[in-house]
Amino acid sequence: MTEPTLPAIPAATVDAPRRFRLPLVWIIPLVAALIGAFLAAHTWYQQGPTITIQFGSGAGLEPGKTRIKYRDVDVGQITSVALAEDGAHVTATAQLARQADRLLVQDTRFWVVSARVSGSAVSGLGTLLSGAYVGMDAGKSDQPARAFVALDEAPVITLDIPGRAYRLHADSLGSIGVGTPIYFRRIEAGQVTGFELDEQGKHIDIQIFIKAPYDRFVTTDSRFWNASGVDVKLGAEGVQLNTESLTSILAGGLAFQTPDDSFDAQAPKDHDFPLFATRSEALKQPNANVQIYQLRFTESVRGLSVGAPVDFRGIPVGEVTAIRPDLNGNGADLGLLVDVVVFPGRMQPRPVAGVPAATGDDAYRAFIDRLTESGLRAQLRNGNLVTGQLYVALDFFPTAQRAGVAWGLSPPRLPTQRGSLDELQSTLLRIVTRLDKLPLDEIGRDTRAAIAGLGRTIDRAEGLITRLDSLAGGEIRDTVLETRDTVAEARAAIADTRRLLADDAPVQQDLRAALQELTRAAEALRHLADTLDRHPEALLRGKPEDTP
Amino acid sequence: MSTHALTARAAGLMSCHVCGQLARVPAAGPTATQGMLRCPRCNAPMRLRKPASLSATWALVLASIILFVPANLLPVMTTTSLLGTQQDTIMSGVIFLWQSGSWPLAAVVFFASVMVPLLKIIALVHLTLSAQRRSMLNPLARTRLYRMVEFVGRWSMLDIYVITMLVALVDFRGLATIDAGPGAIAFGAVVVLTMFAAMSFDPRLIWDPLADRSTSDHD
Repeated sequence: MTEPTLPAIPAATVDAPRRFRLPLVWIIPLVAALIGAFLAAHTWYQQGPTITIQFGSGAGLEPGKTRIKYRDVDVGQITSVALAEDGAHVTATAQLARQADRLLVQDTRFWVVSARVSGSAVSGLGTLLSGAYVGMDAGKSDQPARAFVALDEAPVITLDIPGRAYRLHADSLGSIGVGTPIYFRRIEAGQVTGFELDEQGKHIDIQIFIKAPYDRFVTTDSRFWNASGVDVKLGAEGVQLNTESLTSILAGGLAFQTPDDSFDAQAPKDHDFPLFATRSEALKQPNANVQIYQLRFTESVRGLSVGAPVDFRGIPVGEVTAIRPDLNGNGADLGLLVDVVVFPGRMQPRPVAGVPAATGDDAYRAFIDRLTESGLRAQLRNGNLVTGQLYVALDFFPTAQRAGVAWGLSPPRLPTQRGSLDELQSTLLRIVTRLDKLPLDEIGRDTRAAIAGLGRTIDRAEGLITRLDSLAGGEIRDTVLETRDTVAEARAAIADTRRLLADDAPVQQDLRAALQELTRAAEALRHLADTLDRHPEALLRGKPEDTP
Repeated sequence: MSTHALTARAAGLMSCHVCGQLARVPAAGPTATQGMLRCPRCNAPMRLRKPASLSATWALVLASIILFVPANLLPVMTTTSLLGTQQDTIMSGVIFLWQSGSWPLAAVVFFASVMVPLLKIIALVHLTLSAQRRSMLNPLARTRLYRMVEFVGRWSMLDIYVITMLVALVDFRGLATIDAGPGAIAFGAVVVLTMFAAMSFDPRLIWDPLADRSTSDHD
């Protein structure tokens, strides 16, 4: 191996010296640092507030996975879920986006959204696949907050939906639940947002929300009723069937209506309304202007119930409000007092043209007095023969004893008439008493004697028939045989006679020939008579010759 | 020991990196003239050592260290499907694979995407630092380390390839789409920068202190 000699290797050429070169490579870490700084700043800027939410349970909450959504837009996520120190609830820490900062005020609400199926709606089906998320509803308060207590259930109405909340009072909840729709003229106008028992446990407070623009139609005299199910009414007009909508049949519903002649202002927020059981109950005339009367009945009021109608010849004019015994009277004549309300609006004199309509209590009293004088009486009548329900009827009994309205009592007492059923009862009683007086024993005895006599007569008749039977055995048979002979002879005689009278019988023939002869003789005789008539001399001279 | 072998630099020789021509270093030397040496045959620039090797390596390593942070913190992949949107970082993917039972796959991804870039950065820092300090400890081991770093560099791009293919393949509008996240860019930058850093490092610098000492011993 020979080493190359150094002179054989060419020397490298040398350039002229150049000015100082910036080491470009340092730009790379500079750029990287800039990018890193930008990302850090961006992340820091995007970093929103950290909040804690207190949940009842950790169901569906997964740290790092569960999102927080506002109007279905992702605004943050749960970063940790931990038991509270007292172990009574779960505290979740959530990292929210910066835009959500101003939404975090004191009345902002959070709740866990999961699939929910109620009678009228199905919601949150997407969470079946993607897992639950935390819903958020921005509040209206100005006070920022960072710690919240989550709702147990998703609110039905979010805070920013325009409309008004009201309260209803009911005796029982029925089939109402959170989310039950409220209909106005069969349009879904709102929803039930919650309910609770009042402190005494006697009523249910139902919170409802009526959406705009329907909340305009809720006035202070609006009527709410339970529109669940089907309302079937069998009346004189036939079968009436009232429903709100198919959903309300299945899942229940409420409805409201405002009287057409209502001029009341729109009801303020959180106004209380009673909840009526049925539509007809809700739409009854307002009870503001009523006349209360008491009626005293001496007969039983079994079958009469509070709420039974007061009826004026078929027109319902009021209803029974109370039934109580009149224990103040003397013991012998214990009566029953029935309080009724009468709606004067349904029973009043028609205004006569030209005469200003009399108004006021005095005028109405005079009107009632006039009617009473004409014989107006209250009477218990049977409304339903099957169930025995009674109602109070106002009717005229011109023959009734004179009586007036006892205005002095409170409430004033209207005169009454014993009920038609009662009268029927007493009539029947009279008939029964009379029947009771009949000498039934004697009649029975006589009848028995008569029957015995009849028996004897029948026996005798039987003997007579037996005797007749034995008689028929001998003599009658002889008579019959003789009769048969006689008949045979008679038949032979008739046959002879018929033969005698037949066309080809010799007697007939002879008789006919004799008759022809007789006819000819008669003709000759007539001819002779004629000749003699014309020539009487012929009798003497003979037959004249014919002259040519 | 081979440390006593004569190096080209000690012999006043250098080779052209383009055409391989061996040439003598002019007597004045590059440091004296501050001018650039050129190949007498192909006129390409000639250098005894890579110029500014250490500072360039430092710059690239620093840049990759900076970008390594967002590469691991930012999502590399955004999966949008009917079930919602999911953003995955490299580590969350590894954790998911581990939890779903694909341990070998999780190990591969963890090794290729987290360990390798990290080790590479550490190795480069170690090499550059030791070269700068003119350390004479274990030059052979350090050279092997350098070879390994240069060889393994390209395999870290595995993740980027997977994401690129998924983005191209999974694009069912409405049903599912996959998008590359900002972390993917940072991660790719880290891989590329470490590769450049490994390239800019001149392994001869590992041996130079030994050669310098032996020549000074000779002198």
